Amino acid sequence: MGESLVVTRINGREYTAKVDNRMLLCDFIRDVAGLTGTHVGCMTGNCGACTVLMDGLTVKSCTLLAVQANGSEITTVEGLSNGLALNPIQETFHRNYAAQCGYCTPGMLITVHYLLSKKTPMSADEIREKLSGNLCRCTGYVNIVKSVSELLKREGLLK
Amino acid sequence: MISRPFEYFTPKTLGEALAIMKRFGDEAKLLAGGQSLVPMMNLGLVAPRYIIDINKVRGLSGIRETSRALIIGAIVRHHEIASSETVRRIIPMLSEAASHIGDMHVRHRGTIGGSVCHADPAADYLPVLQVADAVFEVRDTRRKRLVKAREFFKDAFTTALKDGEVLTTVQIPKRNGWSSAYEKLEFVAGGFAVASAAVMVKLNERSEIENLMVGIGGVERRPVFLDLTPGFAGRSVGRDVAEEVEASVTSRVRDPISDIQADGEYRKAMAGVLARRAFQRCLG
Repeated sequence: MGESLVVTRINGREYTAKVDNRMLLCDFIRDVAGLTGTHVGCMTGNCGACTVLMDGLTVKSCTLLAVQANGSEITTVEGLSNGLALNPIQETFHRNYAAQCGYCTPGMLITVHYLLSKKTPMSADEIREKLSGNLCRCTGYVNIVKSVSELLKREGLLK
Repeated sequence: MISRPFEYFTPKTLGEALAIMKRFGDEAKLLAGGQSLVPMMNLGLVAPRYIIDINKVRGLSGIRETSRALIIGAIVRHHEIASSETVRRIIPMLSEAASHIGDMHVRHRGTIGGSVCHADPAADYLPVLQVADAVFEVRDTRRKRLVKAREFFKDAFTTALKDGEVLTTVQIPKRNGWSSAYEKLEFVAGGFAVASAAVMVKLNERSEIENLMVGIGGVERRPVFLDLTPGFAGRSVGRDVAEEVEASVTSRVRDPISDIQADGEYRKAMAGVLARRAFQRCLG
């Protein structure tokens, strides 16, 4: 009782582990897969620091049990680049000083990666609405929104 | 890690899910989108011994349309409702309510059935479903029954569901010639409603009100449903009518919630303001 087998692909690599049913997906990612880029903030689904892609959609990994990811495909912030060079989103954040303490950054990057992949035109207000599930406690939103605007503009998607 | 251990089930059929529910009674909790349940478990507010994950149950997903109704499966997620052209065409205020829930990540996971059964007084769907006269199909191992949304919500976080029952679909009757709108007041992005209003209006060919229904969320311990037709039928629409809608709604809120977000008098006043705005949007 109390344990389940989890087989999941994270950033293209398969992880298999027998875990306590109580384990949250964010803890599986950090402690079992050892991918500590995914941060844990509030544990109540508010702050968005733990945002990852699960089967193509952004989710807050503190609101899912690890066993719910059985058979799923996960992308974390580590999956956005090859670990040697910054990807265009990271590079744009870096150039615009879009990180202060950096705690919210992994969740922001995953969210922006998802938004760009949708190829939907957005205005500055819509960018803010779409990012509203990711809190920056340094309140450094201006440079984050500026980065996203720049990335969308490059794709011809800024309204 | 959540503090209390539990057993976890992933039934593939409704029959299996119902059998597990029956076996464990109120020690079991259904897990749908988990956007309220899992945080509540993380906080230690609930500690179920058995979790029945219904995300893989066949037949609980999908939005479909019959000649008479819009039928939404219990585990249809908020983002699916918000982006469905069918929902938008049949009942625009439901699309609006879905797009106001939490934030994008929450909408990717949270489900309509989960929200309805959790019955948070401030949940966006509840006043909308009452105004639309939605019906919930619920089942246990022996039978199924239909419960009207207007009779489903008994108190804050308390519904007409009995032990062992599962909500399977939300059914919304199709009606011609009505317009609808949803308005919400929230103090922080993604927050629960401090007050919300769902309004449905039908006008006759002379632009007089034929029917007027208002639902208020977030203000009392359960959603408030007001049929304002008797007081407004036959009235031509104009600015003064909108102000009367506001006054009428405000005066009919009886027992508003006071909490850290807002006191009761404020909520009561906002119920009227939001109803007026939604009414005005219904008229275009």
